[in-house]
Amino acid sequence: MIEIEDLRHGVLDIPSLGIAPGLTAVSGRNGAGKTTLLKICSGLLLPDSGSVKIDGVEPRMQNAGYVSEFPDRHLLFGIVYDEIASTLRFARLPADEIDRRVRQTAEEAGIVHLLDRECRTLSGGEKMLVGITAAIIDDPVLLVLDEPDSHLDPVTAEEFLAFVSSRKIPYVLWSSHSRTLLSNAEAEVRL
Amino acid sequence: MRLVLDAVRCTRGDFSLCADAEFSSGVHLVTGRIGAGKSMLGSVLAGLIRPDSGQVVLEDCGSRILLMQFPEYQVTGASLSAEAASWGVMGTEPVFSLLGAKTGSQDPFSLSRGELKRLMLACVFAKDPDVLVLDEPYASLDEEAKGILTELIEARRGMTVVFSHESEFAPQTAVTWRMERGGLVRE
Repeated sequence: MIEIEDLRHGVLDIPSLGIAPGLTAVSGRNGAGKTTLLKICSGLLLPDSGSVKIDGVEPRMQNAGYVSEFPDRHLLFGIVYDEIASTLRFARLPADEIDRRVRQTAEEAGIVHLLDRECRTLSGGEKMLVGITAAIIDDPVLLVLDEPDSHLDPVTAEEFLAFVSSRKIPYVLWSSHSRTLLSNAEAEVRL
Repeated sequence: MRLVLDAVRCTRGDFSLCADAEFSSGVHLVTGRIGAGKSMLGSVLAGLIRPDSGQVVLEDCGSRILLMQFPEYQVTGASLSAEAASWGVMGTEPVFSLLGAKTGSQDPFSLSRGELKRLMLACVFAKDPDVLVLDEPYASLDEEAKGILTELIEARRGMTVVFSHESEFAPQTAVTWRMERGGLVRE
């Protein structure tokens, strides 16, 4: 369970909220605080007051994957392969295991053809797919996707939702303005 | 008003865009899967990419503006009001209040993506060019803003080319085009 208590930060004021495991959509108008809530849940932001616990542990002590609504803000490396491998390299896994997992995850994500590309030459949607794959590869407890479907065509968005579901990530928080995607979620947090 | 792509070809690495098409006044909607070349075509229409071969012929198209897929790429002002001024608009035009676009001394990069998108849309609609190319204008907008955007697009004179994945709110009366692996087909 993700448990939020007395959370106050910017426009957010959430007395108490529990988010069960599964795919939870986060919806709300522009400026309602969706990104702020997602950043706090993933540990990128510390709240002014209140607390967030993921299975009883603070977000910064959990393995969380975060994909920004600004795709360029989460691509750190020049080449797609290096971007996807980065989490595993920082974890100092053996090189051959990293290579195997990068290729296998890229295969499942349907982006093997992008592995040798320079990140700056990718289209907006492709950047999002690479960002999601990089965030997923180390099997996070929480995966946060901030409006990924803004950059994806409907077919790709559906395929990616199936890919994300297949990874059995305990918690997925997905913000969106798309009714179709919101209807796929098991729960919805509306701000 | 006419914009003709005469055997236009652009190559970047392994990818090639090929287009032979004629755009007239009114609303055009271009769809296609990611990586199909939509943004590259938008840049060609707006005159930001010169084709490797073929030519872009303009008739009575005085001014052209491209609103990029990522609004953050296009910000040049240090405040919301400076950003509006950089487009040569006041920030007091009716479209700003219609879209709920804020002005003032705030840093544009402190806005959420949806708020920044509203600001940039307000700027280009206030500027009202002959040819307006909108790359994924619905991305990051909430449902209310999407509806307003469609009304603005349909009310425009001149030529408006919309590149979008949006299916629920996109203009219904537009001439539709589809991009597939770098090719452009009228539907």
